[in-house]
Amino acid sequence: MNGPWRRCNPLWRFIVIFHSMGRFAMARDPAEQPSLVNRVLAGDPAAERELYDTHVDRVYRLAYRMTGDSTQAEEYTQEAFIKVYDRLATFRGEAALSTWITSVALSVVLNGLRSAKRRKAREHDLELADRVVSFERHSDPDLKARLKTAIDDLPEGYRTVFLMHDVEGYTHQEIADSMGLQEGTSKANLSRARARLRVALADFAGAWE
Amino acid sequence: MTEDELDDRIRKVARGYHEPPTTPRERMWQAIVARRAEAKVIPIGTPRRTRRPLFWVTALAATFLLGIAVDRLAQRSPGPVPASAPTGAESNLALQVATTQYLSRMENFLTEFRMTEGDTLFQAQARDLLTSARLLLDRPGIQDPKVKALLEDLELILVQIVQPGATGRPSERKLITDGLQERQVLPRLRDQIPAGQSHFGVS
Repeated sequence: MNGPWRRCNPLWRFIVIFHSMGRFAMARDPAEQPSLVNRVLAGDPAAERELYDTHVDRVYRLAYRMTGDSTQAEEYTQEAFIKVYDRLATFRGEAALSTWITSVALSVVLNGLRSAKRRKAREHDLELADRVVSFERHSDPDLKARLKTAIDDLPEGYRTVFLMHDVEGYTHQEIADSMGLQEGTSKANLSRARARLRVALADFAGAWE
Repeated sequence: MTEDELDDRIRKVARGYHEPPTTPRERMWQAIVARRAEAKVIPIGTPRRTRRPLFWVTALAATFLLGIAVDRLAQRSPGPVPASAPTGAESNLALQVATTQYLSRMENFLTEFRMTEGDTLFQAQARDLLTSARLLLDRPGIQDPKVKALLEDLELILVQIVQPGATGRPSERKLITDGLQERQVLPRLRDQIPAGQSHFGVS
């Protein structure tokens, strides 16, 4: 059920993400990227804002897709940008800046979601059990609600890849670079995510024909 | 329906999953600015000054106090002095060691003070150094007027540094650094440190 990515220590995930940026990624906007980064590093407030304006939509959209909550999405987006500014000096320019920012944002969101999940699990053990039972009985007649439940129930690695690729339109290369995976692993995770969703929504297939 | 067709349908419906509203750019930007200001994040490119581990401060202070303690014990030792007990020369040696270490610490401290912005750690260290300077000034073993004058200057400078907010205000910092230059404190410190025991000014 749980992939190696999910099982391994969060610190290792972080190291893998940053290491992989250097190994796999190619700069995609080499002309614009260094000058903006250098200006931000030099303390230019206009450049800080420009970097924010360029990338905030992408980060916020991903945070919202992952959380489904505007307060949480805003919180994670802010935290991600604060981390981006703090660590920009470590950006080596080998990956696209957008990919590097996405990897920082993803780590913020995933860590935040894990904390929230642990908190919720402690508070709502019984409620969670009821929800699982109702899902197994396929008693939810609404397709969107069923799909939401099915996506929510995907393992973290599958869910992230599915949302990034099929919903937000990231390429496998970008996903792999952001998550510190091989591109093949990203493809495999997407394939497994789709298979699980097909099973969860199998009884709707007839209605769609 | 084939798997591909089913995937396609799922993908279409999934686009409505947690569909993001318009990005609240300004609100988030204001929050980011406020949070960074709160965390006293200064220019992004500025490399963070590595905070010296408290270990070294503590270790040096402990060595200094040990030197003073050995000196005191040697001087107050009651009764007949055994052959192996510290002599006056030995107790002076302990004071010399303590003075050298103190002056070395002061040199490091003042060098860093001139190059970096002050913070609470700086002030805590200055307070510690001020106490040590006063202890040394109280010792009768230090008789060289050069060393005494230097210690008195260092005491004055440290008094300025430990004032609340002194290291944060540019005008105060400038006064302190100007004073350092006018009194030639660092060159005088360096003169005393590496030259050997005869320059410690301890009789």
